[in-house]
Amino acid sequence: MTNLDLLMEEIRIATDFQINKKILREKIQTDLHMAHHGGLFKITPELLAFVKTWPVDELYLEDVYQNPISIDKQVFLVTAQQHYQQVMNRWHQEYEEIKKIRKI
Amino acid sequence: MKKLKKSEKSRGIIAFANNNKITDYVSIAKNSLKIAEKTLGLPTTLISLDDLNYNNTRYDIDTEQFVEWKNYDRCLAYDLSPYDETIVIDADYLILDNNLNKIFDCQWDYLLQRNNLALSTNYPYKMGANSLPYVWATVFAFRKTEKSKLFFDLISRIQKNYNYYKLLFNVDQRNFRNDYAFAMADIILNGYSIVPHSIYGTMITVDQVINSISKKDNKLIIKDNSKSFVLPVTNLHIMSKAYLQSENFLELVDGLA
Repeated sequence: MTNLDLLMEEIRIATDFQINKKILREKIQTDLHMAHHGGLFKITPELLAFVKTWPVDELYLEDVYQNPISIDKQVFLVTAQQHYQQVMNRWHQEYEEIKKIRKI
Repeated sequence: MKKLKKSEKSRGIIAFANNNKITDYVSIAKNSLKIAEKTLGLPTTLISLDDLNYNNTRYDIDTEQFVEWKNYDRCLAYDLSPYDETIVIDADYLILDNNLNKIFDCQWDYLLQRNNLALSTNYPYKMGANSLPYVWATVFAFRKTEKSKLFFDLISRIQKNYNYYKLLFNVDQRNFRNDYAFAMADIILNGYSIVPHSIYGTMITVDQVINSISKKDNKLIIKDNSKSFVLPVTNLHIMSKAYLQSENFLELVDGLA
């Protein structure tokens, strides 16, 4: 491979950080969904805070398909917190990785 | 004969594929299903109905011209699927993560893909300037329920009378599009309203001519003629049929499946 070929290859693999970042965010928004007790929930800080502050152990939450789902507060909270932390950690890790290869 | 588990009998993935003069859709679908089977751990079925007497065209990004397209069999999914719960994918849809498995735990009759994000184009979200939003029939799921049966019967009716429904919904494009027929049926079935029921998340579409896709350190690196994209491992809708028939794609399939 000549120097020109190498240079061309280098230019060709230049990547657009903003697009990579946008796609990664979309993937994470998808991954934040969690199936629980026959329902599908997008785990958000708001949902976690709401469930945590709910004064009764059993409650009904509306899932993304507009169904009321019976929830055991403690079970849901532990599972949802773990799911949220796992996905957000991965987002941070993958974001740092794509930042390192930033070209544009 | 392999003895299937109960869940394997009733849940699976199907793809429709019919070859035309320039694209071997059947081979592409076989490879896509191979990846899907590995990723989701579900059985797969390929359906090829070459005797449908319809002709349609689509714009091919590789050859930059309109090519023959046999895409009229999607409305038969309900009758032809051997599964009680079915995910239907286009031949060019690669299932690379297991998010679709989560939908089976929930209550629905059918789910459509409503959100799409393409790497190089901003697609309109409506069927026409004065029309309603459409869905992406690239990937959808259904259970064999009464409502799903009605849904597919309605798609079939729309397909047969497409010129009427095209005018009714102010559709801009002349050609039949599954995406539009599915959207119309969904809107009618829900009392002329749009319900938010959807395959959750956004479909990522690689809508340009590409040279390669490789998987490295849990990331996908997609290269086209001018740049590369570094993406998380996620489901992809690949529009370049030339790429899906290339050696690089076969290497990707071997690596993944």
